[in-house]
Amino acid sequence: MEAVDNKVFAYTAKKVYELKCKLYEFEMLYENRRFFRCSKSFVINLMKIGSVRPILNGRFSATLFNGEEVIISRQYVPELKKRLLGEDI
Amino acid sequence: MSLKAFLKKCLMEYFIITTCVTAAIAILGLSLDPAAKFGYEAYFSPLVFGLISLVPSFITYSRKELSFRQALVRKVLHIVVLEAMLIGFGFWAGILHGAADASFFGVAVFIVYLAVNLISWQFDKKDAGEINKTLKSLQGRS
Repeated sequence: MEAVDNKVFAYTAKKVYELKCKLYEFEMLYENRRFFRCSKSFVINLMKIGSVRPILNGRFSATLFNGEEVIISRQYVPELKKRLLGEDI
Repeated sequence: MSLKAFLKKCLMEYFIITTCVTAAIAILGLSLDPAAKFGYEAYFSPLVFGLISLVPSFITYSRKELSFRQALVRKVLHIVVLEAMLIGFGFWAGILHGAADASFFGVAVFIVYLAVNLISWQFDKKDAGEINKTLKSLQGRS
C-alpha cells in the first residue's frame, strides 16, 4: 500500500486499487494480518518480502517476491523486529 | 526519523567515534612520536574530538524521508564539513602546524569515519540477517 498525494493505492500482483481509507487507518485495521508500516508512505505485506538488506543512512531495503524494492525507514526497523519476533512461527 | 531517535543514534555513534579516535591517536602517536609524554588532560582529547565529530551529523538529520540521492548528497556534505571542523579545531588547538600535518590528519579522520560507518553497517547487517531468518520461518520457506 502506498500513500501518494492524499490518496492510498493498493498494489496486488496484477492490479492497482485506490482505497477509500487513509494509510494509518489501513495499518490499524490490518496489522494483525501481517501488514507492516515500513515508512510514512508505505505499508507492506510481510508474507511478500523476499529479503531485507541494509542501505545508506541506517535504512533498510525490502525486496519483494515480485522484484520491487521498498525502503524501510530506520525508525520502523525496531518495530519490524518486534513484530517478527512476536509472530507465531 | 524523530529527533529523539536521531539523538539516540548520535549517542551510540559518539561512543564508537571516541573508541576509534582513541585507537587512531594511539597508532599515530606510536608511529610518529613514540617518546611523547602526556598528562591526564590528554585523556580528554578523544572525548572532545568525538563531540566535535558529532556536530556535523545534524546535516544528515531529516524528519522527512530522503531519497537515495538526497541521502548521498548529505553524506558527502557531512564528511566535508566534518573534515573542515576537525582540521580547523586542530589548527586552533595548536595540534596541527602546516599542510602536511593537516593532510595526514585528514586521512586519519577519513579512516575513522569509514570505521564508524563500517561498524554501524555490521550491526545493520546482523539485524538484516535476523529479520531474513525470521521472515523465512514465518513464510514457511526453507
